Amino acid sequence: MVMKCPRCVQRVHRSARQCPHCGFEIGDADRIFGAEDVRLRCLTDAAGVLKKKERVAARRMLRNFQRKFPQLFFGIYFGSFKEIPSLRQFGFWLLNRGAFEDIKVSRPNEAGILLSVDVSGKAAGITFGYALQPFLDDEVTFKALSAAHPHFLQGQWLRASEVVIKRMSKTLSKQARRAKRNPEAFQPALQPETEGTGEILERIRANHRASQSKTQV
Amino acid sequence: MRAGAVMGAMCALLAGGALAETAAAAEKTEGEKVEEKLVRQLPALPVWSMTDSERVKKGEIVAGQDFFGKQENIQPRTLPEIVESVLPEPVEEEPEREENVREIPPEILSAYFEAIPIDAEGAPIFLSDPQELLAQQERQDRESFLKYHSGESKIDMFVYLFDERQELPEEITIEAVYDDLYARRGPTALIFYHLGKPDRAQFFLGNAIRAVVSEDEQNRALRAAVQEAFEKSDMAYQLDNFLVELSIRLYWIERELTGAGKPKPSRGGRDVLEARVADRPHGLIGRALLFVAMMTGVGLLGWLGYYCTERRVRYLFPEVDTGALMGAPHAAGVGAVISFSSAQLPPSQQRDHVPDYLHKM
Repeated sequence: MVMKCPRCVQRVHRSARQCPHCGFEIGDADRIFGAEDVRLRCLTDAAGVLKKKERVAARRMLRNFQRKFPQLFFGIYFGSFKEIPSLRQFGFWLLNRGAFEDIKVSRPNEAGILLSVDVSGKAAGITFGYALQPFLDDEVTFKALSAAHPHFLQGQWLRASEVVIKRMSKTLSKQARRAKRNPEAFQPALQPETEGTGEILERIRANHRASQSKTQV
Repeated sequence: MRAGAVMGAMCALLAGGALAETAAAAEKTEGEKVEEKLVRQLPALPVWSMTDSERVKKGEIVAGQDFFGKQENIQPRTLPEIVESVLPEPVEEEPEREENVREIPPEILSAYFEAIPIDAEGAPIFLSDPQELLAQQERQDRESFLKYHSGESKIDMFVYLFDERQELPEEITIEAVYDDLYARRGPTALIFYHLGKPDRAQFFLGNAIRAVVSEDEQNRALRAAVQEAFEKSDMAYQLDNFLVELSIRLYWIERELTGAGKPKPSRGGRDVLEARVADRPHGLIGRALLFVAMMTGVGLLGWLGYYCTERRVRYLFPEVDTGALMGAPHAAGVGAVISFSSAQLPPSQQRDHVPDYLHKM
């Protein structure tokens, strides 16, 4: 379970309050992207690259993922980040500050996987929550993105997302089976105390209504 | 009193020392003993005196002369005798008796020919292999094929399996077996098949069939089956090919039997042959289509089963306690970032490893 800093991509110890290499912390990302929580849906097409039919298909795909993994959710964000400096930091920030309106409170952001795609900058990245740390790593996410690379190249955003989800599902199902057989293998050696997580988001989600206007990033 | 005790102790020590020397002597190896013996046989070393020194200086004697002179009394070094070990005489292995291989034990014969073999449900078993020459799975596969043939054809095939070199007793012939067991049954084809030797196969059809089908045609069917069998090298596959070809031949014989009840059309032999040639592909195509349809059905069922199972299955993860990292409340799992700006470069070369502050930040 090796964690990496979103800014300097160096290894960071699990209990580090800030990156020991570059001093990065969530506040740095807040200063760039905003300190407020943002409302969004698990499929957010801010770049407007998906057709209506594709959006329907993508939502179905995400629902299937949630049915298969009852504790998790998958989010996709298509954006055009001309002014946003770092996709890695953006994914990190969005999964921490995003309040996904169409996801039940029982699935916290800790159990989320976010695929962020910079349509104009031609880059894609994956971020995942704390609950998935023992089961996913940098290499797994890279393989999933690599499999979708040809589709990203051709601008087949739906197909690319589908491939990423399929790959990630395959890995996750394998890991779930392994964890079922040997749960101790996935428990971290250290269990530092958790800080109050999710209270704000739970409040937001509990009170939100579908008709409410959402804040786009 | 004390002096006496000291003396006693010294005596004991001396006696102990002597015993130790004796033990050390006993422990001398054979080589050391030989060395000692040789040393004893050598002449005593010369003792030098001042006179000798003077004579050496004058050149009257040469140093070492005694060593390099004649040494007649030295015995050649004795070596321990080599005891010739007595090796056991090689025993010639008796070659396996050919007769034993060829003979079929009486109890096996009775298992073959006592009655038509039946399974637990009373249905006939078409493949008799009491010697278990085939593996269980292989036997089941061939039995399934024979059952399938029995369902499709009016002429059942009963196959008796023997080993490559086995010989049946003279009184047991395929005709006799047919008369004893199968004469009162419906149309039957009886086959004696030697595994690994398809050309030793025997084939016998019931009287009713032989009345219609010529001997020549029966032989042709057998020859064709044997020829097909030799297409394979594995014994079990040989049997497969043999049975499939024979099954096809029996299909044509069956057609001939069906046609025999009807008045023959006024066509010459050539026309009949042409008709047969024309009909045969249709049968094969039909069978091929049936096979494809079956396989498609099996494939669809398999996929449906997989799909339903996959849809039903739910994957759960154990709860893992992790602390907040870098002050992030929900997530610090930063995965890979790749660029897709170039179609020429592979994803591994477009992987973003570089710290953000070096290019964008």
